[in-house]
Amino acid sequence: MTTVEEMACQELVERVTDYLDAALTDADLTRFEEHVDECPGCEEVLHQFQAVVELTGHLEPADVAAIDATTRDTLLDAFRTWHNERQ
Amino acid sequence: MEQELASSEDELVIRLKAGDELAFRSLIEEYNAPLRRVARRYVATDAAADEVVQDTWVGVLRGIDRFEQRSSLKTWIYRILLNIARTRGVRDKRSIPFASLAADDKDGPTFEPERFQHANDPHPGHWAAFPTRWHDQPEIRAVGHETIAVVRAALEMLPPNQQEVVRLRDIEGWTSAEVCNALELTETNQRVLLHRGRAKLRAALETYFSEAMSA
Ligand SMILES: [Zn+2]
Repeated sequence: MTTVEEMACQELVERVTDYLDAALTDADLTRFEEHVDECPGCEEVLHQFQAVVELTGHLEPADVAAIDATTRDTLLDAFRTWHNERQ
Repeated sequence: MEQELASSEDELVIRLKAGDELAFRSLIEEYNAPLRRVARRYVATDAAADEVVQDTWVGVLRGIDRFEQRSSLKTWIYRILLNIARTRGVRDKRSIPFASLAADDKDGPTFEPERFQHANDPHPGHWAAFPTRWHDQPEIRAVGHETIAVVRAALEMLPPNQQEVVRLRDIEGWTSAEVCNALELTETNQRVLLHRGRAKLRAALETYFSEAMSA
């Protein structure tokens, strides 16, 4: 018998982001890792979340709208005005 | 690595203070789009968001000489944006405090309760049946464009706050601390939003692969 209560799968799947962010307490980290070592279902879910993070990372750069040329030129004009005024 | 990042930011700030146009240009190319998305949460129209972002850049230029780098440049810029956006949002009677929406999030769990054994089953809270394995599908490893399309579509369906946190963390590569500072979220709220968002992307991929594998 251990004094630490086991982490059930239902709880573990809600803690995956905490785990990936290294935000679990030492006790919860132990419970999490011990569980994943023994549970193929939760191990798969952990890998799935890692795959989601990896795939989402590939949305850059085409999906992140860049600044449009008009806005950029307006801002650069503002910059030049600012720069000239403080000379 | 941290030192390298710090010194390249020091250099950028020095160049900005010196009036280096290329430094300003790289700054607006990096931040204008994310600033615009954040601004849009506070004001009623795209046009109003554009004004907020423009005013933010003016604020950056006016304040850069006094910026002492007690926070990161990114955090400082977002603070300017949030001040302007909130003032504008109140004037437009559309103030949406980010953190309170986070707390109100009534989303369901990562997996439906039916996926787990119930109280009178042998192992309550454990899988009723293991989830289907797809994380090592060739399409995932190859970052296939169909897979990416599934993620993109699911991302666009996310509620705004979850979407913003997922974008900043997982697309734009911000740290948790940077997101918390910029959006004035607690660490806990930020991770709840991130997890809920990622969970929905995961579910979308699960649906996609279960259909693909049974076809
Ligand atoms: Zn499990």
